[in-house]
Amino acid sequence: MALRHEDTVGGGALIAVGGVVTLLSLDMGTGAAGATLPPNFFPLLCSAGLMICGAVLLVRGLLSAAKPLPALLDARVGAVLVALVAYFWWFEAIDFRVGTWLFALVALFAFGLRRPRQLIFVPIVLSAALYLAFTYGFDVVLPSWT
Amino acid sequence: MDLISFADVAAALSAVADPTVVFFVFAGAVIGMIFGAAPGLTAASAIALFLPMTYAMGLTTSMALLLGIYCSGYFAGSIPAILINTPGTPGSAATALDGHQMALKGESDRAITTALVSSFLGGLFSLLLLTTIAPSLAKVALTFTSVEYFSFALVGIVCVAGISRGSMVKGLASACIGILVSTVGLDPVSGVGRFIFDEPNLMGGISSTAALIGLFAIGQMLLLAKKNNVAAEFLPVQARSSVLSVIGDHWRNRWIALRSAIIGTMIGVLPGTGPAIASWVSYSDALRTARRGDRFGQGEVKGVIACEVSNNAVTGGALVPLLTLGIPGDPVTAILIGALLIQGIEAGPFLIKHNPSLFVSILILLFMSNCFMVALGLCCRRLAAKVLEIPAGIMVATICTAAAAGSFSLQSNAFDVKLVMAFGLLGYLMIRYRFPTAPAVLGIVLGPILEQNLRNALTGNGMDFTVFFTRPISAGALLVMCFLLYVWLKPAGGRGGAKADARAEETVNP
Repeated sequence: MALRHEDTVGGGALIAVGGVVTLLSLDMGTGAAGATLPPNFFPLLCSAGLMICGAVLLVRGLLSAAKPLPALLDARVGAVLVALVAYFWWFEAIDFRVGTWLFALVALFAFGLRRPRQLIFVPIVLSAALYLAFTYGFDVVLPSWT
Repeated sequence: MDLISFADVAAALSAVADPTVVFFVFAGAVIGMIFGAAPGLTAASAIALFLPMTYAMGLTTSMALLLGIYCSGYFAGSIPAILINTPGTPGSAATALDGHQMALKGESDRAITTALVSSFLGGLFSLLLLTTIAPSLAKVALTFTSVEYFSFALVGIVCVAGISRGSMVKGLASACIGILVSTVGLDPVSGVGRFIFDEPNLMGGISSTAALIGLFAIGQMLLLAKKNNVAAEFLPVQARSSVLSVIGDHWRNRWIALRSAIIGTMIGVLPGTGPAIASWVSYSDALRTARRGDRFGQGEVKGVIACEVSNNAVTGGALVPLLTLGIPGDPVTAILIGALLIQGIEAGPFLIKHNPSLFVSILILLFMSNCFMVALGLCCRRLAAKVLEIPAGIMVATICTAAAAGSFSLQSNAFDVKLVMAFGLLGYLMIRYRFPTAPAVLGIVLGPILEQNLRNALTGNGMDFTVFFTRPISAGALLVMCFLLYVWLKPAGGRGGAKADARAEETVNP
């Protein structure tokens, strides 16, 4: 029985998600649906589909030979992920130009780019180009401190 | 074609003749080349990324940009497939089988030129079919009811899950995830909030554009961060190839090219499929008709012709169900639905009737896109390798920041940016655990169509489910779905079949 198999983990996750969706859907109520499908019909259909697919994957995984799970994180992915989450989560709170410059710098660093010219110019050019394109090209008001 | 008058054609020509429109077709072709050629980026991610920018554009210019990206992006994936055995798009995975072998023999220029000419021919063929079929199908589609639309949408969902081949269960699960996402928000009939969690921003549902940007662009960028650098394989000195000799190759293999064009167009017409399945089916067909002396898998030009004709033939074919039924033919056209909605145009059977000049404009723009694609490709094919040299760090930084700005521009709402991040993380997890993301995309787009039409069909027929089997067109569509399921679920066999299946399983994500 292979607990360490991508299908086992994936199947288990699908069953869990399906279960949660089922519980939330049963609590939904009918509203003013009338003589038609209730609002929780499709969510219940999807959750049933997820749980069936999850069960199939789980059994398939358990019956397979164990193999290493897909590696999700390493130093580079971790750095990019942290920077990405911070940049996207606080997008509105930070001046777009500053946030973009900082994110680009972190990304370049994470990918091992160390040439000073690249580290200096690429984030500045990227930040400026995007800001100008969206502000003056597409008339979008990006977050700004000024 | 009595839905379209001469005045409509004249109006379309007048709209397209604008230098701004021509510029945007060209810009789209360039962007499509870059995104298609860069491993990790695809035509779908390019269109998702540039979709928010079309808010500021007019209808014709936005279509010009996106269709330019569409055609060139599907071709350009063959460049890294040939040069470094890494397809730039899923539709070019089969091209790598013979294309890279040609490069190892010093024939990469011939392979890339062959891919270019093949893509042009495939695109033109499907454009011709789109021109002739779509208006007639639109007239027939006006007689369809919710019953037929539900069945077609269901076929689309099953098709896109089915092309996951060995991962059909994962494909179906991915489709269920997409449909589930589409149910978030206020139920349009009962007014009940579904999965809102007291978040006002979710009452209107999850923006499909934000979800697409997250799944396609951010997910792929995180995957790029995970990959080790692809060591460039040493290639021998490459011989230059003349376009005339490549055209001669196509003439000698004209029947393979024609069959591949038909296969690609028909697969494109089938809702929910895409260039990946088209190229593999065409390659298998070419393999099946191989003659003594053909060296498939060792640098046979017929292999490149078959794959590239069919994957670009999908472009016109996929627009047929989009423009006539409002059902996307492939993941890219699923995003184009959003582009049309942004401009206030609803895809479906009334599109050609109410906007005939738009339909003609799309035909002309597709033709121009194919012409720009071949012109750019011929001029710049020797520069193609430069795209592969863009450091991954710069690519990741550029795409992620552009995605953030683009998603914010949808409604000037930071919540959309957070949605992109969430879907990006989901997309990354799905890719790492080998769940295809294309079915999720189709699920997000087709979910509302499925639910609305199922409700209307049942309400109009007294909640009688048998109506889907008693109406002939609906029954026919469901029969086709069962047939396809049988074809996909039976064990793969035949020469090249097992190899094609194994490679196809690796290319489930756009």
